[in-house]
Amino acid sequence: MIPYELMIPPAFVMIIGALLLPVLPKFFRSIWFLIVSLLTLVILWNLPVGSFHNIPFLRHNLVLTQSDALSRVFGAIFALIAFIGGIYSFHVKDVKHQIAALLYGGSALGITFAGDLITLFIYWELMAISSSYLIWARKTKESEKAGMRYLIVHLFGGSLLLAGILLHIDQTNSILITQIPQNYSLASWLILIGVCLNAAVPPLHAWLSDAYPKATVTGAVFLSAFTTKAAVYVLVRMFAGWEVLLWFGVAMALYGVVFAVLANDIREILAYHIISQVGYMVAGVGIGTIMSLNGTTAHAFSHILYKALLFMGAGVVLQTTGKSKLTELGGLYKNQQLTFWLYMIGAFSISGFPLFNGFISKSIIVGAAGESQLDWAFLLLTLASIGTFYCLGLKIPKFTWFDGEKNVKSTKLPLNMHIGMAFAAGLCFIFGVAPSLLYRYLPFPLQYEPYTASHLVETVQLLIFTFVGFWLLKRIAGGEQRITLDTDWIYRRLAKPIWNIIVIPVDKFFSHTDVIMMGVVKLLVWTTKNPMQLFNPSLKNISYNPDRQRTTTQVIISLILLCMVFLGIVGLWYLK
Amino acid sequence: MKRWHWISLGILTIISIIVELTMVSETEHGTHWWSVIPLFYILFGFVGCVVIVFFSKAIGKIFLQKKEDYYDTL
Amino acid sequence: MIWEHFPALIPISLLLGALISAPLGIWKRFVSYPIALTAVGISFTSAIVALIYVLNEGSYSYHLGGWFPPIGIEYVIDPLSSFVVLIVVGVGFFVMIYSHRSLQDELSMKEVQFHAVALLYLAGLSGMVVTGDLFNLYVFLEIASLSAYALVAVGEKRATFSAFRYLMLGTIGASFYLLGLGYLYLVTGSLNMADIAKIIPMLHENTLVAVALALMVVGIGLKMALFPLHLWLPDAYTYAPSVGSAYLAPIGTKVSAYVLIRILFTVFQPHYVEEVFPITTIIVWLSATGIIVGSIMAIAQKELKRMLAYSSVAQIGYIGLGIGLANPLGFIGAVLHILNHAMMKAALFLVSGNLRYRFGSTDISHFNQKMRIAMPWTSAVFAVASLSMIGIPPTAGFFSKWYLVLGSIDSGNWFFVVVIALSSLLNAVYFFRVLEKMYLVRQAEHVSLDADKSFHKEFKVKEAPISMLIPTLIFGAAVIVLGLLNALIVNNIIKIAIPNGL
Repeated sequence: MIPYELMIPPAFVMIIGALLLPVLPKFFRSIWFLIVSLLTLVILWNLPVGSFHNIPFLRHNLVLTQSDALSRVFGAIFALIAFIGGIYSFHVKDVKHQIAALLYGGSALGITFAGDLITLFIYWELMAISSSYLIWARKTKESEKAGMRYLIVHLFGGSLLLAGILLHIDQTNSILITQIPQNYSLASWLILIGVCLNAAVPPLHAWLSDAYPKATVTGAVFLSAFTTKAAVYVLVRMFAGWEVLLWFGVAMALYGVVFAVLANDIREILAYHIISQVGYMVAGVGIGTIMSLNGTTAHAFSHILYKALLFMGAGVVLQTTGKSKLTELGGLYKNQQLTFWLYMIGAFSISGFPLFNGFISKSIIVGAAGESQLDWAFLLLTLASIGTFYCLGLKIPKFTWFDGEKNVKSTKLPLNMHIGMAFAAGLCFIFGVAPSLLYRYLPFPLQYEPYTASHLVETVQLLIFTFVGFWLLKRIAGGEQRITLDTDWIYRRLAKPIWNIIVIPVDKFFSHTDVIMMGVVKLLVWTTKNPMQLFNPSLKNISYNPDRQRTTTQVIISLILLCMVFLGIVGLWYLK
Repeated sequence: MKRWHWISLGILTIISIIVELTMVSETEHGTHWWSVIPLFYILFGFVGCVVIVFFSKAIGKIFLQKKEDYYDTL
Repeated sequence: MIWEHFPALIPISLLLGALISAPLGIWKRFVSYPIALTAVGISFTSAIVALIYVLNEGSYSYHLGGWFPPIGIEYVIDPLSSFVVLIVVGVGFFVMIYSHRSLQDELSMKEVQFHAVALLYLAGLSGMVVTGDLFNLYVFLEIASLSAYALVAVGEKRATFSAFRYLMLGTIGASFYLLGLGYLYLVTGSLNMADIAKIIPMLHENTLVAVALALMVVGIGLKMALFPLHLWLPDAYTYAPSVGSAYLAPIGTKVSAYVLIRILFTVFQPHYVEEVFPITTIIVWLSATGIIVGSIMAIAQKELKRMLAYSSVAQIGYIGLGIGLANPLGFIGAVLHILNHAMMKAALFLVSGNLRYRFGSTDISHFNQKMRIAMPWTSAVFAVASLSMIGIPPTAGFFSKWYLVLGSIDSGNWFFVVVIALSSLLNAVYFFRVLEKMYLVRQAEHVSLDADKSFHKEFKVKEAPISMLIPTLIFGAAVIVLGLLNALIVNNIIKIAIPNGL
């Protein structure tokens, strides 16, 4: 337990740490990044259960920090991955990038520990904005456009979320985050859709496969960890047991795999697999039993670790060769053995190899499906696992590090990146062989033993024969130099016509208004140059000279008399 | 893929089959309709992999895959 | 003991001051200024006492010479009159301080006479405010007018001509007033304001009363520079000496506005002037026209004082608008604007006097950065007063315009709201023109200023002398302070002065 005075909301620690970065000396910034992440981890781990930091706002009380086992687990992995990412990006000199990454992590933590919807929303938007920078920072033409699409889509999702939140507050008069009953009201749909957009549930997922491959080498590591998992956290908190999530989750798991098979860019494959793995988590929320929710949490924890590891590996390839497309890569094994093996640990984890953390977490969800008599879900999720191993454990390694017809140059391997990878890989292994280290911190008590004979048998058979299938198809398994259309086709294709309809007429209207305004100004200037010309046309365009255009005394006296007469007439008329 | 790789995989497969047939009798997952099919996961792994690959490639060829500069030429 | 007579003290000390300082000044030049200042000081103090008295105890009626009205002349100190007379004498006091050095510069050898005439002018104005008798008002009106003509006539260039025109037109106005007053006396048999106010309700169908009202309004309207009776004003204000304009502009027309308020609302009563003979409607439309015309003409001007003169026409239009609206909010706006405009115009004319003192002319086309660098305080006061004239919160000008807008909305006439807004924009045009010349650097000027090595030595700060600078600063500060305190003033003084029946 930490003393009350030190109980700062964990988000604040990271955010303030981020804001202090510019004023620190350059050499210290990366170290500061690590210090802040560790500090946040320590603080959040020691928060007592309960809600704190209530701030009155309008008619409600904001709850800035609400801590229980669920938020602690998610918070811990967020802080941890920020630390690992900090090691991986130790060499980054762009302070804006570092600030963005820390803010991104801080806002994810904010969401994790938020007790009310308004706080949640604020962090939600902060997350969108800070993560956009990580895409733009790559500074290529594609990344610029992709970042813009990313931001727009996320802000759109945020507005849906806000609409839902406002409706919800209106209906229930409460801003607290609680489980929403499955009444499928408009408010809950809107919130659900807003959250699902961040969780990359198809058809709202295209931003992920569009933007993540185009982000910076180090930024992608952070991106893979926070947005989607924070959304999963919210789903667990608010939508546990919603059946629709089960359907979409399973569909998601397969959808990601199918598209990953078609993809050519390594990081795009990894991005689609995020969608696939998150599908497991979403399905777990949909099943709604204690076991499945535990499974979702455990899987999120493991996923963050091994996905980061995979992205780190792909990042090293990109950094050292400048390329990320399978069709352009090959034969790197000679120079990049360490990278390869660390990557493979990630691939083993995601595929569910025994001794690694995928094995101990993914199967909880699948097992929960089995226990709830959801056989179809069980089978389909297992199918997705097959596809996962195929893409990540077989296709990517073969065509990136082996298949050495092409002579791809690779530069020296950066040390800090490998230390980061090693750290993550080590954790994957540790949790894999000692799962109780993770299980004891899950939100609900869990009686699950992953290392059963049947489980081992299943996994071994599955994996070996997936490999056999791959080997037979290996000639067509490689990448093709094409892109795959996804649901973002809608807004990418329609952008130009919409632009023509909505933006251009408005633009024309405003420039016309401008012209009219100029005309009015000209009129005013003409009038005031010599106001007397309004009365005496012979004075047109002669500038005003008081001595020449003085009203004569006769005129003045006539005016006075005129006034008098006028008033007299009016008065007498009124009195008749 | 050297020969000894294949041999070790084969040995592993045989061990798993033996374990499956002898020890897996009353288990948590035992109540499914496929638990009674022997070597289910071997089939599932192989067939599943092939199905996924063919299905994905087919969808790709029909609708989804386009030239790399598709969006730029709009 | 002498303070029992404080209502009378206000005009009388000024009269006595004029009568004493003139011969003594001719004998020994240097005594005229101290005596004049003392006289105004006594008057100022009496006005303060009067206001405090009224706020605590209520209206006070003073019978001159112990004679009872309606035969005797009565001085009435009620919230409105004490407020206005304090403004009049207050401005007079600070301008008197200012006038010492300014006169030495512009009118040396004529200071003694000038001080005497100025004192007479102030006496006339203050008498107009405190009196409760219509004919006494005429007497003081003439005293003030004649002194005003003299104040203008000692100026330069076309001063004589302007003064003569002013004299002619002013006399016509005063005569109209006298004629109206005469008719009124004929019909009611009394000259006392309160008395007539009691009698008029019985005479609503009398045409002579209506004619009397029309005559009085035209007469006072001319003195007030109500459009279209304002045409004497630009010349008079422009060609008077700096101190002359400083005396005339802030208070001259305001007192006539006050008289108009008295005649319309106290003597004739709101019911008559709104419904039986809706002269307030005519006044409000004429004022609105005056606002626009004054602002447009001001934009055309090239000389600072003439520009300020036309601006005054527009500002009087605001006061007329408030009067003509004849509802409580409009009234508050008008009276508040009397105060605010007095402060703003005093500040502006004192600034122009400072500029005349240092630079010799106030031709706008010759304004440039050097003015601001040499006279930073003066420029600052000019900037503050300009902002107030345009109507930017929290300066005073904003608040009186705000009340006028509220009053227009109250009477349902949105056109006037548009007029007020439009005039604010027009004000902005001509004030910002001057401010731009003073504060913003043009590219070419920038280069030449830097290149001129002797520039900094030549134009080190050469502000106006202290005795001129302090009153300028006081008025400038007043613009802001009164803006911030406007709620205090409105609630404590003006609201209780609202005539019954509005």
